[in-house]
Amino acid sequence: MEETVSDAYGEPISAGATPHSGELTVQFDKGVDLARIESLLRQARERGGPSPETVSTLNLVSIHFSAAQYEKAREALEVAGTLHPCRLIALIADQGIEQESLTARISVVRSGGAITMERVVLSATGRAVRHLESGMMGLLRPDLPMVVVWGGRPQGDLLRRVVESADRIITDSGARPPSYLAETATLLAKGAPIGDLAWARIFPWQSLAADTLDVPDLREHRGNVRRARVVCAGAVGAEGLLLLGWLQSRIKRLEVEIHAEGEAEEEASSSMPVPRAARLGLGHVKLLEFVASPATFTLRREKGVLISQVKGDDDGFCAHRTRLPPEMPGRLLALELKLLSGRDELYAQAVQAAAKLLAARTCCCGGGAVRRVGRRRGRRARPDGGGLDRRVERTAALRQDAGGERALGTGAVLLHGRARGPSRSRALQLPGGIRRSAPARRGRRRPPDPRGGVRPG
Amino acid sequence: MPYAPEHDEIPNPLRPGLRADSAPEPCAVVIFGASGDLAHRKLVPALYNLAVGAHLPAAFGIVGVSKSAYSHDEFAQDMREAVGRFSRTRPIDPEIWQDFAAGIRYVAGSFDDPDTFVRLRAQLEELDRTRSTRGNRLYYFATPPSTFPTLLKQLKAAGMINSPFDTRFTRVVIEKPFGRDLPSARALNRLVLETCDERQVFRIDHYLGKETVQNLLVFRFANSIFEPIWNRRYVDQVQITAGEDLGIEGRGRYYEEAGILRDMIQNHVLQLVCLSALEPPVSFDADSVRDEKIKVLRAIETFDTPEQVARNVVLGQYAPGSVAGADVPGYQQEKDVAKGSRTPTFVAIRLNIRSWRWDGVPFYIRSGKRMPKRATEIAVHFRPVPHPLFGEGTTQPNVLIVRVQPEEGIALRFSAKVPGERFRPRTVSMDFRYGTTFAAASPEAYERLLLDAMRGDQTLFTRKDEVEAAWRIVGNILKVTESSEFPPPYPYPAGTWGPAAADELLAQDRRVWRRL
Repeated sequence: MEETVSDAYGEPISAGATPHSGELTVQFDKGVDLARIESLLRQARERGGPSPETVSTLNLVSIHFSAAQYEKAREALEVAGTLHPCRLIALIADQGIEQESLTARISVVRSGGAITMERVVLSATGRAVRHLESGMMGLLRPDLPMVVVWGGRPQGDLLRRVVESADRIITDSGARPPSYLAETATLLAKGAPIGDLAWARIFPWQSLAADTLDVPDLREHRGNVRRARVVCAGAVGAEGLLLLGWLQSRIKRLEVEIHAEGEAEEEASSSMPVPRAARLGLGHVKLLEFVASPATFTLRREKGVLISQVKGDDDGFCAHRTRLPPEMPGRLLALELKLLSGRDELYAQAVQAAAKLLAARTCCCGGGAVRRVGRRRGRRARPDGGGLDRRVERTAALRQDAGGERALGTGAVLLHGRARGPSRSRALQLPGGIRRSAPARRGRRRPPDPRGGVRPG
Repeated sequence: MPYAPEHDEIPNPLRPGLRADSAPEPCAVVIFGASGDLAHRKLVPALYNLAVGAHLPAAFGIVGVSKSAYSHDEFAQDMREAVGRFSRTRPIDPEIWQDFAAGIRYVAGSFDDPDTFVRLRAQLEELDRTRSTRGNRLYYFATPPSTFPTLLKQLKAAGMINSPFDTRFTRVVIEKPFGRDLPSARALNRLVLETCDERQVFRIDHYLGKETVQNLLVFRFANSIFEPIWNRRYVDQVQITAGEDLGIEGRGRYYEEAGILRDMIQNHVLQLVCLSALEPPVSFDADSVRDEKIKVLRAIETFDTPEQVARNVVLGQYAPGSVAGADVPGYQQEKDVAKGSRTPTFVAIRLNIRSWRWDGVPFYIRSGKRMPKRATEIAVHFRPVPHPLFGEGTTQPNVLIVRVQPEEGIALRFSAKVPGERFRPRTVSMDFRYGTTFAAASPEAYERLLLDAMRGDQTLFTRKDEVEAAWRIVGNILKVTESSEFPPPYPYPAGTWGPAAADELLAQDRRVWRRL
């Protein structure tokens, strides 16, 4: 049932934002009336009968650039909010519509009788977009950490203050071209508290790799890991680079290699009786191999199961196996929300290593592959705008095309983690993979690289 | 204890900082008493749910052992039905089940027959080959305690118990009751420890697997505001209630032997007392936590004379009555219960913990069958305000309630002003419900405990000295109450909170039981 509160501020909503059942809607013509929103929140809380307790563990702020983007992300935000009770403030900044409007939609989400989420969707069009951040600031519940979920660039001009005042910013490197990792690395180095859904996506790989080296008969190989290789599906993705970056940050003098193979999996039918693991999306990891001579550990994905096998020691048995968790909207976000403030050191180190790897790759290939395809595919304007490096932008457009409906800066893609379409392009696949040898020790002369690659500075 | 590196070993370079816990090592779980209720209702569904949550090691197998004649497939089918009925997650995921069932085996035979163990050993070796379980074994004794000596002897004779220093682990999980009094508990411990090391013995008390019970430790030691007032200066009394609306559910024979003191107090309720009263442990490892629990148990004043027992203990037995609108029989009308039975189904005890922190603060505990409802909680009553500023009797003392079941949560009772012109305080309750706040489904107690046992983490399992210290307290009471001179338990109608004598126990101290 659509419900609109008639009030002194005028007509019900516009901006393509359709209210959902049980939502209270109010439109403002000048500024955001915070008291009004709080009173509507109270009204929404009382609607479910005798007011149950409200528990909040955080302020969750999500940023979107159209009502459609928010709608895509809505379910995931709701699920994550149920697992981490919160006040959700969703900001929709739609500058595509010139007419100025500012609307708030207010509702609560209940789970088992208790209110687990208070939700305010603030949407603005035209010049009213400038009011969003101050409106949001006034709606934050005091004392609770503030986590911003944003699929766009963390340093975009728009809503800068929102991001700057966040205790944590959650983005998804997997929804952007891997080259963005360099930018993330810079921000992390400055101390930005960034969390990443792509990082959460590789947790099972990390656990399995660690568990494999915990198997009693295999522990002896721990000190001898010298080479590692990651294979991504369809194109080299941020997940693969992060996995490799993590390994490199954990193991000294590790030679690494990454390349793409095969295709991403098709979207599965939705009529599954039981939830299944997320499909193997474009750029996702399909194989990790590390060599501790004479043993070679191979971790590979087979449908929803990760299997680790060892060769060269014992008899090539399956060392470990783990089932990938069933996919549901918001699962990755809920995982990342376990950390509410501060920096994930392990992630920061992995990103730094991945960025170096990326720099080495760009040097090796001279960016040729990227440029070539960039010309073929052309460019596309993106909503979060703001002074992007051209090469990166072209790659972005490319990834966007490759991902079908995937658009940069969409919370939807970010949160569902399944919006990647099947691979139509393998543009980022680099012939022969990327190799990077161990950095020479300080004070020693570097031997010439037999493969003729350029070393990172 | 999660895997800890040996001194000469290189630590796992990939482990630090990972958010997920380490997976248990490959292993085979052997369930003795596999055709029984516990295996069907709890153990196998818990193992299946661990598989669903991807917590089980890849190399994993289950071997059921009991007298009933099953083939491997029949047993697996039987377990599938059990999972279908009792699992927390339903429907069964066919893919996960297929994988899970591929490691299910069954050995039929009597525990007295050495041949059973020869076959069991062969079966486990087959699992080592086909499922790479690597010689690691978790033996779960889901059988009456009378079988423990035989089982341990047979396992030992068959060479199926490794030394604790062996790289392949052997662990034994034992269900309560751990003996029926102090001498028998000591005898059982001696027997178990002749065959195994204490590090290999996991005495399971499923109360400790409950989220709220664990949350009690987080609540006390992760908040700085409660600990300073958690002592005799601020706490007036602590009431612990563990009530069930059910009767003995056809387990007359067991209950006649056990009674409420053995069934609930010696294990579950004393564990709740320990967790509410313990000092901050130096770290959160198994022995540090258990060291603190044992200190509480040792500090509890024991009742050495019949007079002390009579003054501090009230026993009851339910008579016919009505629970939740249904007529129910009395204890003596239940199946397998002797006419004139003196077995208590209710107990109320006043305990004093003689420690710097608690001396003089009574811990009132009560537990019973056929109470008006199922409720387990710890209520910490604080002292009243020193001066009634707003009028005599207008404010109630603060109470902090930790609910263990059914709705796990924490509530705080405090006074607030009634809106209006005069200062009229009213007691309000701030209620935090665990399940609805964190909508993540809580794992069943057995899931958590089985996983801990597979990982070798003994924090939530009872240590030998804990069992004996608990028996010292309960044993003294039993010695008096089971003698013929002690009056029989007071009858109380089913569906009430115990006999009037339980209320009098508190009335002597000018207190009343919390109304639940």
